[in-house]
Amino acid sequence: MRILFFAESNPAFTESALSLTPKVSLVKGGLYLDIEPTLKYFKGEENILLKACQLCSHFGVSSPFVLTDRPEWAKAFSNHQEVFIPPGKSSTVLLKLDISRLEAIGDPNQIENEKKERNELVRFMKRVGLKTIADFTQLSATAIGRRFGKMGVSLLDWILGNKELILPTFVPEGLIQESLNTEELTSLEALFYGLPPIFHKLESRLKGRAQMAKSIELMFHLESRNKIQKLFHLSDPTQSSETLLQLLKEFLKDLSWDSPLQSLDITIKETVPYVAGQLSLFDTGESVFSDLSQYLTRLRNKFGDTQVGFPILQESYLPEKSWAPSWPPSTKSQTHATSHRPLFIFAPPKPCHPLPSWKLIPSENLMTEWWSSHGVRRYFIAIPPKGSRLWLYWDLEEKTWYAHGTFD
Amino acid sequence: MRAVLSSPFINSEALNSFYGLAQVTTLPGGSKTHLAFECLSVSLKADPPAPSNLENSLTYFIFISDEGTIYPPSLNALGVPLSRVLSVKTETSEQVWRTGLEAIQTGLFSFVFLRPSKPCSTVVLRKLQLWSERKKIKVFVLSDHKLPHWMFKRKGTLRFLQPE
Repeated sequence: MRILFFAESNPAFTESALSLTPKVSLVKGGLYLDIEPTLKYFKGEENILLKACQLCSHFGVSSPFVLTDRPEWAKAFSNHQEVFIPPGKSSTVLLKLDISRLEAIGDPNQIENEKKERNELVRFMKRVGLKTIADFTQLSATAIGRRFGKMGVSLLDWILGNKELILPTFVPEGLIQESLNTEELTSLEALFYGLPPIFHKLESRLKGRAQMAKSIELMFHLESRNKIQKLFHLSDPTQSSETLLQLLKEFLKDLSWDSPLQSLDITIKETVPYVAGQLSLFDTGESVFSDLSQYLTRLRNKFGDTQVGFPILQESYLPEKSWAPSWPPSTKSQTHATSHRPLFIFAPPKPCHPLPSWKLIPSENLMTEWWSSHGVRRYFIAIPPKGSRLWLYWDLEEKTWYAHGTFD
Repeated sequence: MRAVLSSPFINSEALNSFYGLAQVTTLPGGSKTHLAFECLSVSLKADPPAPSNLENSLTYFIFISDEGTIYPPSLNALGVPLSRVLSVKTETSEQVWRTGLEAIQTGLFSFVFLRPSKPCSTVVLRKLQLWSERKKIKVFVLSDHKLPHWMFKRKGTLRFLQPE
């Protein structure tokens, strides 16, 4: 067993540590990672340590780490500096420790409860001349039981590895949320500078949960106590902090607020399980589709969901309702009879005043839905003497001409 | 680049070897949008056929306009698969040019159709030309406005038909 121990941790950092190993335990503020199952995957302890240090810097965890063989010894090694003990050497190093470190050996759940008793025991051991843990272990179990009681025997079992410590596995709960205090930020550029660390945290937490963000909520808290809320739906769920940051930047460019921004809350509202795509050397289909999805999401955030998309035909005679933009594109074969209709339609239709010299050829009459304010439309193909053909309609309710499309 | 031929055919070989920026304008009674999508349709049916059918290939097209949108049923009637055409309606003509440039820079689209209501500056047009040639993308500017034509470098034997 290889245990990576951090004396101090928080739920967000613990969550991100799940990306290093699934065997993560958070006990009394201490973080225990059993990295042995993922040693091969990460190609060595040094890579795991490097990634753990990166996570520490993202989450501002300054606690030094201990790498040892058993979880019950980890706290005893924990000092003010980083401790790396090679595999199989932990027992030897443990025996060389000062006798006072006995206070930190054993089940971390019980150490706090037994603190007073252990303290008194260690003081007594020092009085009788025991200086290191090795001095203690040289005594026989019977002698220890007679001199130091049950607590002494229990400590001996922990030191010799006769007891097995089973720690509860950490399970992340609740929504992923990060906040940024923006009171000291004076410009949008400063805000952009402060955002990447927040998004790195979000990415790390998503990776820890093996999830991808599907919808993100932004909550802007203003000094005027007003709140601006914005919900992003990602057409292609992602973990990438760069993609998420790009989306937020585009959104912020168009956003203005009437009083200074105090804080920004970013919450990942919906997630989907992370499924790694199989990207082969020759088939770039998945990556193209993924890039297209990201590009489409950006366009949709900029122009709106109804303005961007791959057309999908719908059952309606009304030109504007006979199709809708969609994502992902539908590959079903679609057919629609449109013999007299142009290839380009104006959205919305433009008011128009046909001149007497224009030739108007009737094409079709359409009834709008009964709940719509517009009633009947009489469509014509207008042929001006000079210029392009237009697709006009006369609105019987409004008594107005509209240009709905052009054949140019 | 615009050329009018009396032949009722589009030179598909020349079209397939063309990469860059082309302006398509309208003659009385003609349709620049129809012509541009006819080029796309011809390109899709080009001989020799693709090893896999289009639904499985990675070709996407984008149509950007600020005045309106393409009418998908009519486009479908031309034989262009709607699952490959991304339709974007912007708010201003400047956004058409800018979004078009971004679309070219992504390299995701093999055909880019821009239908702006107003012309752009020479700088934007030059960028469009350089990027479309670098990324090997066919860009059709559907506009009757006078654009700085010295930008449009005539290439090969590409000819566009403007039907009467």
